[in-house]
Amino acid sequence: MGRLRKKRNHHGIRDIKRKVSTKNRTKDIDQICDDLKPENIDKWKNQAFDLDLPGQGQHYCVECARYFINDTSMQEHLKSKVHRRRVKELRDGPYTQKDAEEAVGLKTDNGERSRNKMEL
Amino acid sequence: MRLEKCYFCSSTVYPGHGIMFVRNDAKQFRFCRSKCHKNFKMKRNPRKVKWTKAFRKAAGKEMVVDGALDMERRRNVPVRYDRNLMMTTLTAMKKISEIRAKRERVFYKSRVISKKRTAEKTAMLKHVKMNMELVPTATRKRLEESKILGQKVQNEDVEMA
Repeated sequence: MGRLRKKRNHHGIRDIKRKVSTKNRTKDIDQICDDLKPENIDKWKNQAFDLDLPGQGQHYCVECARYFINDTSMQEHLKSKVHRRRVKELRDGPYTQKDAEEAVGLKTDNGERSRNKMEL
Repeated sequence: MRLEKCYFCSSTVYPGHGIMFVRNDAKQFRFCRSKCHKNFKMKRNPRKVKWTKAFRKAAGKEMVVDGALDMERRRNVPVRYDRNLMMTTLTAMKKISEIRAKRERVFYKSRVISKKRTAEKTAMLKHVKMNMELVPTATRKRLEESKILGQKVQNEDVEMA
């Protein structure tokens, strides 16, 4: 079909283009909120030794979804503004499609269960 | 055919418009236009972006609690086609949107226009207070008596004399 030239995709602004492209996507806030739940957090705190990850996957900041090469760099990160800002953002809770719908007052009506089904 | 709400700005996404992004965890994100899509890719929080409905509701710029808003619902149970029901639904939808528009206008009036009026009034009173010399004596007496401008005005008069 020939090369399709896309428009309005931050063309020429290298850092924005790279940051925003789907193949470089990092975790969203609602995914991280899911990770922080007590049932999931243990999996992230105790990760298996993986040679491909920085620091073999042993030093992972759950809130920022980042791996660190050793404990000192992770401790330095935990004191940083970026991390503290992220923790503050996460405290408000995730924004979901449901929030978007509630903002316009759209609720869900799933109907009433018929009595006959209950009897069966 | 279903009319969905945009994930970012909460406006209605009509068929043939917008983009749906499916993430690796199978969650779907619908966007009404590229503006919302781009803001999402930049990981902006809709609750903080001033022009979205989520921000406006949280900031109290639009009415939240209202009977007319309750009327719009997503029905997950299919309804057997009945012509009479269709006709009544259509007329009801029109009426409800009119009532909702009227109520929103009232809300806007009470929020914006009344605030503007009080702001104008305080500005005018301040202006009068600052330029009391220019006010004719009869009016000045009236103002002092009615205490619109407060006690401070009388003291200033005494000092100047």
